Amino acid sequence: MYKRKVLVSLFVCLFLLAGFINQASAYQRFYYSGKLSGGVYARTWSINTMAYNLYDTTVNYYDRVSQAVSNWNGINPTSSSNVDVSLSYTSSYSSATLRFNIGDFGNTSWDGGANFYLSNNTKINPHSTSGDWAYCELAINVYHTNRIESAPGYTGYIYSLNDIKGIAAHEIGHAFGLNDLYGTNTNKLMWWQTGSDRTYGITSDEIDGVRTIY
Amino acid sequence: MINKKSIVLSCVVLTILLSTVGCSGGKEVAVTDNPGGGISASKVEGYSNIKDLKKKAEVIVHYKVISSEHIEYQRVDFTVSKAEVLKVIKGKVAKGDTINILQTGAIINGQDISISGDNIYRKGDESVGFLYKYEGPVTEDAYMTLGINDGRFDVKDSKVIARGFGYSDKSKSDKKVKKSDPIDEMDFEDINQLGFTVDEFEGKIK
Repeated sequence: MYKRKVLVSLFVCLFLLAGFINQASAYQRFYYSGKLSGGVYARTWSINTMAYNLYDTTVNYYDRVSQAVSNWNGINPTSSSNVDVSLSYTSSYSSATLRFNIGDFGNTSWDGGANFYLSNNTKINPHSTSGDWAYCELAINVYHTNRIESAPGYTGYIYSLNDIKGIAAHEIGHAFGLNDLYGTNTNKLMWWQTGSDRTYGITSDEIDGVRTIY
Repeated sequence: MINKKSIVLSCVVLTILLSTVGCSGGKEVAVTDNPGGGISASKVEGYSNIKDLKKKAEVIVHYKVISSEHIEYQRVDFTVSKAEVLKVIKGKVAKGDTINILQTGAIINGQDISISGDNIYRKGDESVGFLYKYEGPVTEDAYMTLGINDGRFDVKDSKVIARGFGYSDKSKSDKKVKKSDPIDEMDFEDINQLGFTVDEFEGKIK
Protein backbone atom coordinates (compact mmCIF):
# COMPACT_ATOMS: atom_id res chain seq x y z
CA MET A 1 0.00 0.00 0.00
CA TYR A 2 2.80 2.36 0.99
CA LYS A 3 4.86 1.58 -2.13
CA ARG A 4 1.83 1.99 -4.33
CA LYS A 5 1.10 5.45 -2.94
CA VAL A 6 4.69 6.52 -3.50
CA LEU A 7 4.67 5.20 -7.06
CA VAL A 8 1.38 6.91 -7.85
CA SER A 9 2.72 10.19 -6.42
CA LEU A 10 5.88 9.94 -8.47
CA PHE A 11 3.89 9.16 -11.59
CA VAL A 12 1.67 12.19 -11.04
CA CYS A 13 4.76 14.37 -10.53
CA LEU A 14 6.41 13.13 -13.71
CA PHE A 15 3.19 13.57 -15.65
CA LEU A 16 2.85 17.18 -14.51
CA LEU A 17 6.52 17.84 -15.25
CA ALA A 18 6.24 16.35 -18.74
CA GLY A 19 3.21 18.52 -19.38
CA PHE A 20 5.15 21.57 -18.31
CA ILE A 21 8.10 20.71 -20.56
CA ASN A 22 5.83 20.30 -23.56
CA GLN A 23 4.23 23.66 -22.92
CA ALA A 24 7.53 25.46 -22.31
CA SER A 25 8.07 28.45 -24.50
CA ALA A 26 10.62 28.72 -27.28
CA TYR A 27 12.60 31.85 -27.78
CA GLN A 28 16.21 32.58 -28.45
CA ARG A 29 18.44 35.37 -27.27
CA PHE A 30 21.46 36.81 -29.01
CA TYR A 31 24.72 34.97 -28.52
CA TYR A 32 25.95 36.92 -25.50
CA SER A 33 22.43 37.60 -24.19
CA GLY A 34 22.52 41.38 -24.59
CA LYS A 35 19.48 43.57 -24.07
CA LEU A 36 18.10 47.07 -24.40
CA SER A 37 19.94 49.16 -21.86
CA GLY A 38 17.48 50.85 -19.51
CA GLY A 39 14.81 48.22 -20.02
CA VAL A 40 11.44 48.26 -21.74
CA TYR A 41 9.44 50.56 -19.44
CA ALA A 42 8.78 54.22 -20.30
CA ARG A 43 10.66 54.11 -23.60
CA THR A 44 9.91 55.94 -26.82
CA TRP A 45 9.52 55.14 -30.49
CA SER A 46 9.53 57.29 -33.60
CA ILE A 47 9.28 56.98 -37.36
CA ASN A 48 10.98 58.93 -40.15
CA THR A 49 8.17 58.60 -42.71
CA MET A 50 4.51 58.32 -41.74
CA ALA A 51 3.32 57.00 -45.11
CA TYR A 52 5.15 55.87 -48.24
CA ASN A 53 3.92 55.92 -51.81
CA LEU A 54 5.36 53.38 -54.23
CA TYR A 55 3.83 51.37 -57.08
CA ASP A 56 0.92 53.88 -56.98
CA THR A 57 0.11 52.57 -53.53
CA THR A 58 0.35 54.49 -50.29
CA VAL A 59 0.96 52.51 -47.14
CA ASN A 60 0.50 54.16 -43.76
CA TYR A 61 3.52 52.89 -41.82
CA TYR A 62 2.75 54.97 -38.74
CA ASP A 63 -0.48 53.02 -38.26
CA ARG A 64 1.23 49.64 -38.78
CA VAL A 65 4.00 50.43 -36.29
CA SER A 66 1.47 51.86 -33.81
CA GLN A 67 -0.40 48.56 -33.91
CA ALA A 68 2.81 46.61 -33.33
CA VAL A 69 3.73 48.87 -30.42
CA SER A 70 0.26 48.49 -28.86
CA ASN A 71 0.68 44.75 -29.12
CA TRP A 72 3.99 44.81 -27.22
CA ASN A 73 2.57 47.32 -24.71
CA GLY A 74 0.17 44.55 -23.72
CA ILE A 75 2.91 42.96 -21.62
CA ASN A 76 2.00 44.14 -18.15
CA PRO A 77 3.11 43.14 -14.64
CA THR A 78 1.63 39.98 -13.19
CA SER A 79 1.92 38.18 -9.87
CA SER A 80 5.05 36.42 -11.18
CA SER A 81 6.64 39.16 -13.31
CA ASN A 82 7.29 42.86 -12.85
CA VAL A 83 8.01 43.43 -16.51
CA ASP A 84 5.92 46.24 -17.97
CA VAL A 85 6.45 47.12 -21.62
CA SER A 86 5.62 50.74 -22.18
CA LEU A 87 6.51 52.45 -25.44
CA SER A 88 5.15 55.87 -26.36
CA TYR A 89 5.45 57.87 -29.56
CA THR A 90 7.75 60.85 -29.88
CA SER A 91 8.15 63.10 -32.91
CA SER A 92 11.83 63.47 -32.06
CA TYR A 93 13.33 60.69 -34.18
CA SER A 94 16.90 61.31 -33.03
CA SER A 95 16.05 60.86 -29.36
CA ALA A 96 13.75 57.82 -29.60
CA THR A 97 14.73 54.42 -28.27
CA LEU A 98 13.19 52.62 -31.25
CA ARG A 99 13.59 54.47 -34.56
CA PHE A 100 11.64 53.14 -37.52
CA ASN A 101 13.54 53.88 -40.71
CA ILE A 102 11.09 53.52 -43.60
CA GLY A 103 12.77 53.53 -47.00
CA ASP A 104 13.23 51.98 -50.42
CA PHE A 105 16.42 49.94 -50.26
CA GLY A 106 15.78 47.98 -53.46
CA ASN A 107 15.34 44.26 -54.04
CA THR A 108 17.42 43.06 -51.11
CA SER A 109 16.31 39.71 -49.66
CA TRP A 110 15.16 41.42 -46.46
CA ASP A 111 12.06 43.46 -45.72
CA GLY A 112 13.04 44.47 -42.20
CA GLY A 113 16.29 44.88 -40.33
CA ALA A 114 17.40 45.95 -36.86
CA ASN A 115 20.59 47.90 -36.20
CA PHE A 116 21.90 48.25 -32.64
CA TYR A 117 23.69 51.32 -31.23
CA LEU A 118 25.56 52.36 -28.12
CA SER A 119 24.67 55.75 -26.61
CA ASN A 120 27.69 57.28 -28.42
CA ASN A 121 26.02 56.30 -31.74
CA THR A 122 28.46 53.45 -32.42
CA LYS A 123 26.84 50.51 -34.17
CA ILE A 124 27.36 47.21 -32.40
CA ASN A 125 26.84 43.55 -33.10
CA PRO A 126 24.30 42.18 -30.59
CA HIS A 127 25.96 38.76 -30.85
CA SER A 128 29.29 40.23 -29.74
CA THR A 129 30.58 41.14 -26.31
CA SER A 130 30.07 44.86 -27.00
CA GLY A 131 27.45 45.02 -24.27
CA ASP A 132 23.87 46.20 -24.13
CA TRP A 133 22.56 48.67 -26.69
CA ALA A 134 21.07 52.09 -25.99
CA TYR A 135 18.78 52.35 -29.00
CA CYS A 136 17.88 50.61 -32.24
CA GLU A 137 17.15 51.70 -35.75
CA LEU A 138 14.57 49.42 -37.35
CA ALA A 139 14.49 49.56 -41.14
CA ILE A 140 11.48 48.53 -43.21
CA ASN A 141 12.14 48.07 -46.92
CA VAL A 142 9.17 49.47 -48.82
CA TYR A 143 10.48 47.97 -52.07
CA HIS A 144 8.85 44.79 -50.74
CA THR A 145 6.29 45.96 -48.21
CA ASN A 146 4.50 48.41 -50.52
CA ARG A 147 3.55 45.40 -52.68
CA ILE A 148 0.13 45.11 -51.11
CA GLU A 149 -1.70 44.73 -54.40
CA SER A 150 -1.04 42.47 -57.36
CA ALA A 151 0.29 44.16 -60.48
CA PRO A 152 0.73 43.02 -64.08
CA GLY A 153 3.94 41.04 -64.45
CA TYR A 154 4.62 40.86 -60.72
CA THR A 155 4.90 37.29 -59.44
CA GLY A 156 6.40 37.89 -56.00
CA TYR A 157 4.85 37.91 -52.57
CA ILE A 158 1.90 40.22 -51.95
CA TYR A 159 2.09 41.72 -48.47
CA SER A 160 -0.90 42.25 -46.25
CA LEU A 161 -1.14 45.17 -43.85
CA ASN A 162 -0.90 42.58 -41.07
CA ASP A 163 2.39 41.32 -42.55
CA ILE A 164 3.78 44.85 -42.21
CA LYS A 165 2.53 45.09 -38.63
CA GLY A 166 4.22 41.69 -38.06
CA ILE A 167 7.53 42.96 -39.46
CA ALA A 168 7.41 45.99 -37.17
CA ALA A 169 6.59 43.79 -34.16
CA HIS A 170 9.33 41.31 -35.16
CA GLU A 171 11.92 44.09 -35.31
CA ILE A 172 10.81 45.37 -31.89
CA GLY A 173 11.45 41.82 -30.66
CA HIS A 174 15.02 42.10 -31.94
CA ALA A 175 15.43 45.48 -30.23
CA PHE A 176 14.34 43.82 -26.98
CA GLY A 177 16.99 41.09 -27.39
CA LEU A 178 15.16 38.25 -29.11
CA ASN A 179 16.83 36.40 -31.98
CA ASP A 180 15.25 34.81 -35.06
CA LEU A 181 13.75 31.34 -34.80
CA TYR A 182 14.16 28.50 -37.32
CA GLY A 183 13.40 24.78 -37.60
CA THR A 184 10.15 23.68 -36.05
CA ASN A 185 9.44 27.03 -34.37
CA THR A 186 6.73 28.19 -36.76
CA ASN A 187 3.76 30.31 -35.73
CA LYS A 188 5.86 32.63 -33.66
CA LEU A 189 6.56 36.31 -34.13
CA MET A 190 10.32 35.76 -34.22
CA TRP A 191 10.10 33.29 -37.13
CA TRP A 192 12.82 34.32 -39.60
CA GLN A 193 10.68 34.90 -42.68
CA THR A 194 7.68 37.08 -43.46
CA GLY A 195 4.72 34.94 -44.47
CA SER A 196 2.27 32.40 -43.19
CA ASP A 197 4.69 30.82 -40.68
CA ARG A 198 5.10 34.05 -38.72
CA THR A 199 2.41 35.46 -36.46
CA TYR A 200 1.46 39.13 -36.74
CA GLY A 201 1.76 39.71 -33.03
CA ILE A 202 3.44 38.51 -29.86
CA THR A 203 2.79 35.01 -28.59
CA SER A 204 3.38 33.52 -25.15
CA ASP A 205 6.92 32.67 -26.32
CA GLU A 206 7.93 36.28 -26.93
CA ILE A 207 6.23 37.31 -23.69
CA ASP A 208 8.21 34.66 -21.77
CA GLY A 209 11.39 35.76 -23.51
CA VAL A 210 11.00 39.43 -22.65
CA ARG A 211 9.95 38.63 -19.08
CA THR A 212 13.08 36.53 -18.67
CA ILE A 213 15.42 39.11 -20.22
CA TYR A 214 14.10 42.04 -18.17
CA MET B 1 10.84 5.98 9.91
CA ILE B 2 9.69 7.69 6.74
CA ASN B 3 6.41 9.47 6.96
CA LYS B 4 4.26 8.51 3.96
CA LYS B 5 2.46 11.85 3.92
CA SER B 6 5.72 13.76 3.86
CA ILE B 7 6.92 11.81 0.80
CA VAL B 8 3.74 12.56 -1.10
CA LEU B 9 3.85 16.20 0.01
CA SER B 10 7.53 16.49 -1.01
CA CYS B 11 6.74 15.22 -4.49
CA VAL B 12 3.93 17.73 -4.95
CA VAL B 13 6.06 20.61 -3.62
CA LEU B 14 8.95 19.56 -5.90
CA THR B 15 6.66 19.57 -8.93
CA ILE B 16 5.28 23.01 -8.11
CA LEU B 17 8.80 24.37 -7.56
CA LEU B 18 10.10 22.95 -10.83
CA SER B 19 7.10 24.24 -12.73
CA THR B 20 7.44 27.73 -11.25
CA VAL B 21 11.19 27.98 -11.91
CA GLY B 22 10.73 26.55 -15.38
CA CYS B 23 7.89 28.86 -16.33
CA SER B 24 9.77 31.97 -15.32
CA GLY B 25 12.87 30.80 -17.17
CA GLY B 26 11.20 29.61 -20.35
CA LYS B 27 12.93 27.27 -22.75
CA GLU B 28 15.62 28.91 -24.75
CA VAL B 29 16.35 27.34 -28.08
CA ALA B 30 19.98 26.27 -28.00
CA VAL B 31 22.50 28.36 -29.87
CA THR B 32 24.98 25.93 -31.34
CA ASP B 33 27.43 28.43 -32.72
CA ASN B 34 27.96 32.17 -32.77
CA PRO B 35 26.23 33.11 -36.02
CA GLY B 36 27.90 36.52 -36.11
CA GLY B 37 26.08 39.37 -37.76
CA GLY B 38 25.14 42.73 -36.36
CA ILE B 39 21.94 43.25 -38.30
CA SER B 40 18.89 41.17 -37.48
CA ALA B 41 16.94 40.86 -40.69
CA SER B 42 13.48 39.67 -41.54
CA LYS B 43 13.94 37.65 -44.69
CA VAL B 44 11.77 37.87 -47.78
CA GLU B 45 12.85 34.47 -49.05
CA GLY B 46 15.05 31.56 -48.08
CA TYR B 47 16.60 28.57 -49.81
CA SER B 48 17.35 25.14 -48.38
CA ASN B 49 18.93 23.33 -51.28
CA ILE B 50 20.96 23.65 -54.49
CA LYS B 51 18.03 22.78 -56.72
CA ASP B 52 16.06 25.90 -55.74
CA LEU B 53 19.16 28.09 -55.80
CA LYS B 54 20.09 26.92 -59.32
CA LYS B 55 16.58 27.54 -60.56
CA LYS B 56 16.45 31.12 -59.26
CA ALA B 57 20.05 32.26 -59.83
CA GLU B 58 20.71 34.57 -62.77
CA VAL B 59 24.42 33.98 -62.40
CA ILE B 60 26.43 31.25 -60.65
CA VAL B 61 30.12 32.07 -60.40
CA HIS B 62 33.26 31.35 -58.42
CA TYR B 63 34.82 34.71 -57.59
CA LYS B 64 37.62 36.28 -55.61
CA VAL B 65 37.22 39.65 -53.89
CA ILE B 66 39.62 42.37 -55.07
CA SER B 67 38.38 45.32 -53.00
CA SER B 68 35.43 46.52 -50.92
CA GLU B 69 33.74 49.88 -50.46
CA HIS B 70 31.41 50.96 -47.65
CA ILE B 71 28.26 52.83 -48.71
CA GLU B 72 25.73 54.33 -46.31
CA TYR B 73 22.28 54.78 -47.79
CA GLN B 74 19.52 56.31 -45.68
CA ARG B 75 21.34 55.30 -42.50
CA VAL B 76 21.66 51.66 -43.56
CA ASP B 77 25.16 50.31 -44.26
CA PHE B 78 26.00 48.47 -47.45
CA THR B 79 29.25 47.17 -48.93
CA VAL B 80 30.03 46.85 -52.61
CA SER B 81 32.88 44.44 -53.32
CA LYS B 82 34.65 44.18 -56.64
CA ALA B 83 35.37 40.56 -57.46
CA GLU B 84 37.21 38.75 -60.22
CA VAL B 85 35.31 35.90 -61.84
CA LEU B 86 37.41 32.73 -61.61
CA LYS B 87 34.88 30.34 -63.09
CA VAL B 88 31.41 30.62 -64.62
CA ILE B 89 28.83 27.93 -63.95
CA LYS B 90 25.80 29.86 -65.21
CA GLY B 91 25.07 33.30 -66.64
CA LYS B 92 26.25 35.95 -69.01
CA VAL B 93 29.60 36.74 -67.46
CA ALA B 94 33.03 35.51 -68.47
CA LYS B 95 36.08 34.26 -66.65
CA GLY B 96 38.29 37.25 -65.82
CA ASP B 97 35.37 39.73 -65.67
CA THR B 98 35.01 41.98 -62.66
CA ILE B 99 31.59 41.94 -61.01
CA ASN B 100 30.19 43.92 -58.09
CA ILE B 101 28.70 42.10 -55.11
CA LEU B 102 26.38 44.12 -52.87
CA GLN B 103 25.94 43.15 -49.23
CA THR B 104 23.88 44.72 -46.47
CA GLY B 105 26.23 45.81 -43.69
CA ALA B 106 29.81 46.95 -43.44
CA ILE B 107 32.98 46.64 -41.46
CA ILE B 108 32.70 49.49 -38.98
CA ASN B 109 35.58 50.27 -36.62
CA GLY B 110 36.97 46.84 -37.40
CA GLN B 111 33.72 45.17 -36.41
CA ASP B 112 31.73 43.08 -38.85
CA ILE B 113 28.20 44.50 -38.86
CA SER B 114 26.41 42.19 -41.25
CA ILE B 115 23.40 39.95 -41.52
CA SER B 116 23.99 36.59 -39.83
CA GLY B 117 25.74 34.17 -42.16
CA ASP B 118 26.73 36.86 -44.66
CA ASN B 119 29.92 38.26 -43.18
CA ILE B 120 31.26 41.26 -45.07
CA TYR B 121 33.79 40.35 -47.73
CA ARG B 122 37.41 41.30 -47.33
CA LYS B 123 40.11 41.37 -49.99
CA GLY B 124 41.12 37.85 -51.00
CA ASP B 125 37.88 36.15 -49.93
CA GLU B 126 36.57 33.56 -52.38
CA SER B 127 33.06 32.22 -52.84
CA VAL B 128 30.86 30.34 -55.21
CA GLY B 129 27.79 32.56 -55.41
CA PHE B 130 24.25 32.00 -56.62
CA LEU B 131 23.50 35.58 -57.59
CA TYR B 132 20.71 37.85 -58.78
CA LYS B 133 20.86 41.36 -60.18
CA TYR B 134 20.32 44.14 -57.65
CA GLU B 135 17.70 46.74 -58.54
CA GLY B 136 17.50 49.77 -56.33
CA PRO B 137 18.95 53.09 -55.29
CA VAL B 138 22.01 51.91 -53.33
CA THR B 139 24.30 51.17 -56.28
CA GLU B 140 24.27 50.34 -59.97
CA ASP B 141 25.38 47.22 -61.78
CA ALA B 142 25.72 44.88 -58.81
CA TYR B 143 24.66 41.40 -57.81
CA MET B 144 23.38 40.12 -54.50
CA THR B 145 23.45 36.59 -53.13
CA LEU B 146 20.14 34.73 -53.18
CA GLY B 147 18.58 34.48 -49.74
CA ILE B 148 21.33 36.73 -48.28
CA ASN B 149 23.59 33.90 -47.07
CA ASP B 150 21.75 30.89 -48.54
CA GLY B 151 23.35 31.24 -51.96
CA ARG B 152 26.82 31.84 -50.58
CA PHE B 153 29.39 29.04 -50.51
CA ASP B 154 32.75 30.23 -49.25
CA VAL B 155 35.94 28.64 -50.49
CA LYS B 156 38.64 28.13 -47.88
CA ASP B 157 41.73 26.00 -48.52
CA SER B 158 39.97 24.67 -51.65
CA LYS B 159 37.04 23.40 -49.55
CA VAL B 160 33.48 24.67 -49.88
CA ILE B 161 31.61 25.94 -46.83
CA ALA B 162 27.87 26.59 -47.18
CA ARG B 163 26.89 29.78 -45.34
CA GLY B 164 23.15 29.12 -45.46
CA PHE B 165 21.54 27.92 -42.24
CA GLY B 166 19.05 25.64 -43.96
CA TYR B 167 15.44 25.71 -42.94
CA SER B 168 14.47 22.07 -43.26
CA ASP B 169 13.48 20.08 -40.20
CA LYS B 170 16.32 17.58 -39.88
CA SER B 171 14.39 15.56 -37.32
CA LYS B 172 12.04 14.47 -40.12
CA SER B 173 14.78 12.73 -42.07
CA ASP B 174 17.47 10.39 -40.87
CA LYS B 175 18.62 9.63 -44.40
CA LYS B 176 22.41 9.56 -44.68
CA VAL B 177 23.76 11.18 -47.80
CA LYS B 178 26.95 10.26 -49.62
CA LYS B 179 29.27 12.39 -51.71
CA SER B 180 28.25 10.42 -54.78
CA ASP B 181 24.55 11.33 -54.32
CA PRO B 182 23.04 14.12 -56.47
CA ILE B 183 23.74 17.45 -54.79
CA ASP B 184 20.44 19.09 -55.75
CA GLU B 185 18.47 17.79 -52.77
CA MET B 186 21.26 17.92 -50.19
CA ASP B 187 20.84 20.52 -47.50
CA PHE B 188 23.62 22.86 -46.44
CA GLU B 189 24.53 20.83 -43.38
CA ASP B 190 25.04 17.75 -45.58
CA ILE B 191 27.23 19.73 -47.97
CA ASN B 192 29.42 20.96 -45.12
CA GLN B 193 29.67 17.53 -43.52
CA LEU B 194 30.68 15.87 -46.78
CA GLY B 195 33.51 18.37 -47.27
CA PHE B 196 33.42 18.99 -51.00
CA THR B 197 36.44 20.51 -52.70
CA VAL B 198 35.60 23.48 -54.86
CA ASP B 199 36.23 21.43 -58.01
CA GLU B 200 33.92 18.66 -56.81
CA PHE B 201 31.25 21.20 -55.84
CA GLU B 202 31.40 23.09 -59.13
CA GLY B 203 31.28 19.82 -61.04
CA LYS B 204 28.16 18.76 -59.18
CA ILE B 205 26.19 22.00 -59.45
CA LYS B 206 26.65 22.30 -63.23
